[in-house]
Amino acid sequence: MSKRDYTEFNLGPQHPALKEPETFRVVVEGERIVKAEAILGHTHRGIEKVAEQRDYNKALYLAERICGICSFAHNANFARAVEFVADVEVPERAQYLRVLVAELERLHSHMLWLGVLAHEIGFDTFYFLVWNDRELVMDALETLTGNRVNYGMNDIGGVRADLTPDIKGLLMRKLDELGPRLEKIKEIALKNKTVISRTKGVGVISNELARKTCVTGPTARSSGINWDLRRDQPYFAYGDLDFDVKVSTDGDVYSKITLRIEELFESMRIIQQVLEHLPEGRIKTDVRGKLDGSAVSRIEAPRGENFHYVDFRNSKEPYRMKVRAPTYANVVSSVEVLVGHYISDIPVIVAANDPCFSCTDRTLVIDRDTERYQILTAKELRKLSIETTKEEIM
Amino acid sequence: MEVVEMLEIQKDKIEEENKLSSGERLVVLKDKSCRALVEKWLGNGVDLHLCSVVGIDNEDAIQVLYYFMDRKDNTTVAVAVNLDHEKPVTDTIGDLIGSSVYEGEATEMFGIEFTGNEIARVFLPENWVGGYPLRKSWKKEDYFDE
Repeated sequence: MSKRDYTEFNLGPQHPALKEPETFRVVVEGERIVKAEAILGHTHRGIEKVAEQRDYNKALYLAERICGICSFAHNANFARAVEFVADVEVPERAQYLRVLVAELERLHSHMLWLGVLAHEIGFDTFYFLVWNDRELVMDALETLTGNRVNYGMNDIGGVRADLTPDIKGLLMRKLDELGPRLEKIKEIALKNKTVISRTKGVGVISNELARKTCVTGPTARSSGINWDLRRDQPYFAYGDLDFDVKVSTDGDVYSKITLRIEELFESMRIIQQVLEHLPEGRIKTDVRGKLDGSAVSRIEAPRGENFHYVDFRNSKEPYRMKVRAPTYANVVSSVEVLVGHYISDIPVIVAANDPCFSCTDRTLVIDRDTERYQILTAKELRKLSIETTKEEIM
Repeated sequence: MEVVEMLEIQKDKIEEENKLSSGERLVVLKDKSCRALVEKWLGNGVDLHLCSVVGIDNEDAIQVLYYFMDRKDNTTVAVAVNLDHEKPVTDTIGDLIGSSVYEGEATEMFGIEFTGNEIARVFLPENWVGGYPLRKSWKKEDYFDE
């Protein structure tokens, strides 16, 4: 075969099929993919470096801004890592409240993903249906924490907001409403011909590939790896709660749909238990002063294992903070399985792992004319923003 | 065989052992590479999961911390190697277990060479000229205009 039979093109960083800026460099023979590579880094913000100059109370909010969808997962995971070093006991009520927000976040994240996948396969009616129902969860999160995203729920040593009887009643009403709607979503997803024909047998991640590339979360569980940190290394209050870990062995996009839908119902079960058995007591233990030591915290974020490492050396600012988001662990496998598929399958296969590239990438300003890089302070960035806005208005 | 048993057998390779504040064993190796250790684990059927690779600038040495989990019993262990600060070089384990991009990130952020791994750019632009930004000696003034 001559070289001319192959075509190389870049999908992204700006492309209708991608919801975040990332580049996939693809080589095709006709419509068939023969080589694929992911180019990361378009949203890298140097958060780990910035965190070294913030005390742990401020770095907590920085961690929350790693991702808009799973902001609680990063925020809570950082808090837990710092709490290990501070050697504090987080009150039981706070641990239950962390589970409550984590599971609400899992509900909204999985529903967001399902809507995006429906859009990628051209089934926009389903996309609108799922996202409409997701608003019930977003309302619940807003009522409980005050925000739809970046909830600011955690503090080092506990949580900032308590669950009042009024809010509890409202959450229970929202869940009562959500249950039947999830049943409807499940029925459509599992029986609809469009969903089946576009996802069954597509983008299969074998158990062997999943193990070798160390994938995590629903991506791992849909490839037969029976592993969920909530059950296997329980944290917060998960050890007190009853839930099942769903596993599939097919490894294709369809199995990721069925698995995440089953996980929605498990999250509902967990939330119900938290609301019924929430212990009384304090919601926070104070943490003050300098810290010394290093710790790892791993939690089961909606997309999989979220890893935070912190290292304090008799300081309030972390000497080193390291974040490994689930997408970073999963992206290699999704690129490998693109080979052999058609161009039209790219968005479906990439979306199947529920990628979040803002999580994976972690401010730098580049002047295109001079090709010089410049790092701005918050004050300078604000000034630049005001000046740019004024110019545009003029 | 499990990671804990394997570590008992490989005791002679350990320089020192501590615990992280989160409770896991932190094993610092005598060698400047953990490749032989990982090969032995995988060869003995350990169901190994690599959670992350963390580069740390200790100012007198560059440390690479590998965080592993044994899927069989969920045991976790942190394995560290200390490398020369000026020219940190170690072997890749990217061909053994999914870590090529993790190593590539440590290369671009700390200047660590992982022999056998050609990935040198993960997040930074291909034409990056800003040095190794996560090194403690890194100053933006050395590379960028104010």
